[in-house]
Amino acid sequence: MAHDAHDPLQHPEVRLVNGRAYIAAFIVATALMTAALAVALHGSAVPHAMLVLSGAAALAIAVQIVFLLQLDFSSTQIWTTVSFLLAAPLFVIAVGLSMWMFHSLDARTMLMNLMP
Amino acid sequence: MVNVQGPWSPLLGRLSLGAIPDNPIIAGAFIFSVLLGILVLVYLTYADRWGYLWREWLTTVDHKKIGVMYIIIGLVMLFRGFIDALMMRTQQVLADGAHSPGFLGAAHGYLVPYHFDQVYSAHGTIMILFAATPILVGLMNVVVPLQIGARDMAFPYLNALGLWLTAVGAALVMLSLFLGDFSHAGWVGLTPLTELAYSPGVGTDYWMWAIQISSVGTTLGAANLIATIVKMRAPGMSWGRLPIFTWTALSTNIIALTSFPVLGVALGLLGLDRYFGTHFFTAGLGGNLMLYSDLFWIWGHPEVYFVILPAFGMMSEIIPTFSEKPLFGYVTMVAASFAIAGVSWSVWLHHFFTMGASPRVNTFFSVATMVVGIPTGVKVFNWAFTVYRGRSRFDTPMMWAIGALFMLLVGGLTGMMLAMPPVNYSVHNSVFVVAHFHTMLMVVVYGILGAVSYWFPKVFGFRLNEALGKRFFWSFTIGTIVVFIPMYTSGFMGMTRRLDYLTNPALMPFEIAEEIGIGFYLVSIYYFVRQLYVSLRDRNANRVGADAWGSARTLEWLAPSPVPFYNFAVTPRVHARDELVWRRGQGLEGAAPPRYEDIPMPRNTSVPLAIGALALGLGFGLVWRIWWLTDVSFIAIILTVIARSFVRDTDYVVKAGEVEGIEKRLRQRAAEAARAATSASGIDALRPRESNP
Ligand code: HEM
Ligand SMILES: [Cu+2]
Repeated sequence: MAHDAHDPLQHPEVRLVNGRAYIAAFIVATALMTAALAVALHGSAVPHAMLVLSGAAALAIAVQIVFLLQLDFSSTQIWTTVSFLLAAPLFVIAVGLSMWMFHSLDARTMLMNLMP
Repeated sequence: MVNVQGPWSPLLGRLSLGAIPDNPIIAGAFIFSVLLGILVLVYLTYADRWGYLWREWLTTVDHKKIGVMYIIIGLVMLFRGFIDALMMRTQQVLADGAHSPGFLGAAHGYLVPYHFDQVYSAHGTIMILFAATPILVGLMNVVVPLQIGARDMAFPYLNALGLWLTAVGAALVMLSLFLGDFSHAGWVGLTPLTELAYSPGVGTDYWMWAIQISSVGTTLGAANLIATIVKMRAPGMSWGRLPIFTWTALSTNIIALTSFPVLGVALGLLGLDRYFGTHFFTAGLGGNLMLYSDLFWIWGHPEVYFVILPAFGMMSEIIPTFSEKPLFGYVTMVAASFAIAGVSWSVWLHHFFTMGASPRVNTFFSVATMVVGIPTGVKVFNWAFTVYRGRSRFDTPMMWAIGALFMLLVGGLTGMMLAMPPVNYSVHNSVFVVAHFHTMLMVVVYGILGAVSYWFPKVFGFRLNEALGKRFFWSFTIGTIVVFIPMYTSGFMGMTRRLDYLTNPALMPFEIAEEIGIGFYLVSIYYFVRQLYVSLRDRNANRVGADAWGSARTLEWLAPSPVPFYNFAVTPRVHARDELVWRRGQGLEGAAPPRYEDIPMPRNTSVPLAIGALALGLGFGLVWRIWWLTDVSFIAIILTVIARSFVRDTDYVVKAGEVEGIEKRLRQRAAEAARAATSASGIDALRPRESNP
């Protein structure tokens, strides 16, 4: 039960709290975002800007998972981890199918070429 | 930061006296709300109810009361949305053909296009996000913890927070009526119309922030319900025994948790466009307005399933109870719910087949959309087989459930028609589409009204008046038929949606029929209000025991009616899928537990209400660009959340002796109620009926 007389600080989920990991996650994420912003601003000067950006994003996600959310396969976190993994197909569907549509949409509608 | 047109001052932002609209209809609405407000305030003061309101409702963390408040907000907004509908119908019946008269400054009808556009935008936004969604969340809040044998939600404090954030969204929408205006870009937010260049006023901002803030509440609520279902089930409540409504609550909240963030992103990007001058959805300058449609419907289609799955769950509870028979095909019902939830993620493009995607893309989404029909069909047959050879009783909840089944049939079949791109190209953006989704949303409304009358006695301890309930049902159903059949027809005849003026006089008969239909809806509201009044007045004659219908099947009917604040005196052990039927079979119904235990309960807190008030300040400040208000509110919210995390005294204990006393009193009251009911009606209304297992 959620409201048993136990000290909430003894809950295994709460025990995962780790100030140092949070700060590390924050610093790394900020650094990656700043770098990504710089790349985006000077896109033409960086080779493979798109790949670099995607790499930075993937790295940022990984850092969040490990340091901030602390997902793993322990009995405390298994539900959260599995839920996270199950959300991955949704991400693939939403982004993948959108890219598939947009791939030919500009050419077919010619909308974006008409605009300044 | 973008410079906006018109005056702006640091103290009041864009707010000025000019923001108060001078329109007789709005003035009437304003006077009505003020009078209603004064009436409520006077009553609260006169009856000395302020303390009660504060202690029992505003600061409560009890899932049942929070659920009831969600439902009240939803019903109020349902009424507001209905008035919008009435206005639209009246405009269309008046403004028909070049010679139609004009009133109140309109060339035709009585609404100028600018106002008409706001009315339909408000109608759609309100009905889906501030009527259907809160009522459904409220019902899940009330019922799910009881069905799984829990004391409360997993996070009661978060639950209250979700409620107040939803209330803030609704409040912003209502405020826009009297201060400034509302969006005129449809409930979907048509781009680039929502961009600052085309909508320089505050209307779009009201729409955007109302949805944004309330959807944070919905997302928190979804996380809470999922955690509750996963973690708080009573011993013995294995996954295979979970009641179907709880299953649909789980699937629907998975949809909410995964899809609402997409809406948040879409609106957030729009906000960046409107406040910081970025170009995500502008026409040109590197923006892509089609991206907005894509993002909106990635949320939008899952959202329509978010509202219908709980309705399916309600039907699955009501139909077996009144057929006195177990639900046919429990496993396929669960599988179908999750299949629908899963497929709902890959069909969103059917909302813009005509945008210009390649034939292959359209074909893919067409097929995916039609696939949804398979699990939906499974459900329909399951319900039909449940009724088949059952001992059917047609109490009001059952009437609504059967009505929902018919609506589902019509809405589903017209949906299949729309799912074929060639058909869609000819009727897209016509009122045929409007009729389709209204029939679908009627499934939700019928489900809700059935569920309200079904679970009402559980929460309040007495039944709603049956005769008036039937009149409510029939007038509502006639209204539905008379409005929507002509709407389908005129859609086929080429009438496009969102028209403030009809050029084709041949459509007149349909408009007149729809106006008559909306009159039936008006009558049905009268019966509903009267039903509530009469039932409240005669409550002592209609008191019920734990099992209000005599043939209920699931765990929530084991708790006394009305349910005490701790739900179950002793956490029940679950033995079967239809636990109550099992207990009845074992002769255990009504048995008192051998001994009582101390019950730890969460304490009331005013923090969620305070955060809600601050969020209202934040939303209001954002709409009117009053930066000091947004900054102060935002910082105060963060500080409040941090301060609350240091509060250690969040629980208290109800002693076993106290529980025993309450339970004794409840049992005695139930026995008296049963006796009174028997002598009043002359029949043994509360005799448990046999169920053929
Ligand atoms: C068998 C299942 C369904 C199918 C095949 C289906 C199909 C469709 C299609 C193809 C459209 C796009 C029409 C157009 O704009 O040209 C549409 C619109 C819509 N449907 Fe359904 N639908 C189904 C179920 C539902 C359900 C369950 C709901 C809600 C409870 C719903 C609500 C809506 C709404 C709100 C819209 C249009 C919104 C707008 O454009 O403003 N549909 N449906
Ligand atoms: Cu859809």
